[in-house]
Amino acid sequence: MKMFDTLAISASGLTAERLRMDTIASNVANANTTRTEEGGPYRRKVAVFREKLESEMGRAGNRSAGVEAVGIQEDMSPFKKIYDPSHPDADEDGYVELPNVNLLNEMVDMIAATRAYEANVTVINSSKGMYAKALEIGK
Amino acid sequence: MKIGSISNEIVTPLEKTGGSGKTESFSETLKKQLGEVNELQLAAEKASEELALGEAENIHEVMIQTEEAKLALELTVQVRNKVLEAYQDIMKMQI
Amino acid sequence: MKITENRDIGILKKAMDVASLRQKVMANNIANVNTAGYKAQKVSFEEAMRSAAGSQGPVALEKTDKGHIGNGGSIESVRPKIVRDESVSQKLDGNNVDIESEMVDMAANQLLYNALAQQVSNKISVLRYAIHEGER
Repeated sequence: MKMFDTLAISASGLTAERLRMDTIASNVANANTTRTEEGGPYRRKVAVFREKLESEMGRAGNRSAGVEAVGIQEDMSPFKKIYDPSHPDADEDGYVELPNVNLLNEMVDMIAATRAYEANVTVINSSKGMYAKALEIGK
Repeated sequence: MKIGSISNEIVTPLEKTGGSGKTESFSETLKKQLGEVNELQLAAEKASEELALGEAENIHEVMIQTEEAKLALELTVQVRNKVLEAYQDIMKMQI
Repeated sequence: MKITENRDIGILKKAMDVASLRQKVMANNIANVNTAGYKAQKVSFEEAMRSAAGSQGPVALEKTDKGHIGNGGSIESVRPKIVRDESVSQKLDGNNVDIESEMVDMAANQLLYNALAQQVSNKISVLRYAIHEGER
């Protein structure tokens, strides 16, 4: 509904930040995973966003209509190498490749995502308040 | 004592002299106002329809248009009542 | 006597349109707070409105005929514009959304919108009172 476009925009923000949280959760859970289906250690994943335009929703005009996730990309920075010959996945020199996940970075990203999520909820409440007030015109 | 037709006696003092020099009779003014009221009603109906179909741009616009149409109608009804009252008062006058 | 041509309600409605658009633009900025390279947008309107409304002040020229020329734009022709803020961002990902100021502006905007809605309601009740000669 065109009337509630403002709510749809904030909803897209919630969806995007939720996706980001899922990615972060996956990174943290797999911070020590040395075996994956493709072989090799787990690669850090990053959710990539971009601005959603009205034209993509089948509407005329190209104003902004929120945010959408382009996809989840893998962070191609190098793996961590640790010397640990006792590890089952150690190579001939005794080095183990561990995922390129830095827990501190993930914590910071998590806080940013949470804050953004909360901000979008505040916007929804604000918009709802405005609509409710408009409905009282003439009462 | 000359007894003239009542309608002429009532309408004449109410003739409005517009700025362009054209005189508008009361009935013409009334017709114009009724046309505007009708337009407002139609606009309000259209806005309500758009609301139901989810095509309305802004909710405050719908609310304001509906209220405007209501006010215009209330005004018209009041004017009608006043005119009727005036007519009845005159009819009651003993000649 | 079209009530829409009542100047007061006309200006109030216009301001509400702008506040509504502003809410949408701010919601969009906040939704995109983590989008790399996104530049914040804002609505520009007050300046244009002031010059249009001010020119219809005490010495406004009345137009009773199509051929008459007024002095300054009419209120109806002023439209809000969405402008992009191209300032350099503080963040690494090129995003220049200042979320704190967006939240504060949004709170102010909501209050303004509510106040405008209240004013429209007041004007309508005044008109209604006049129509019914204070009986209702």
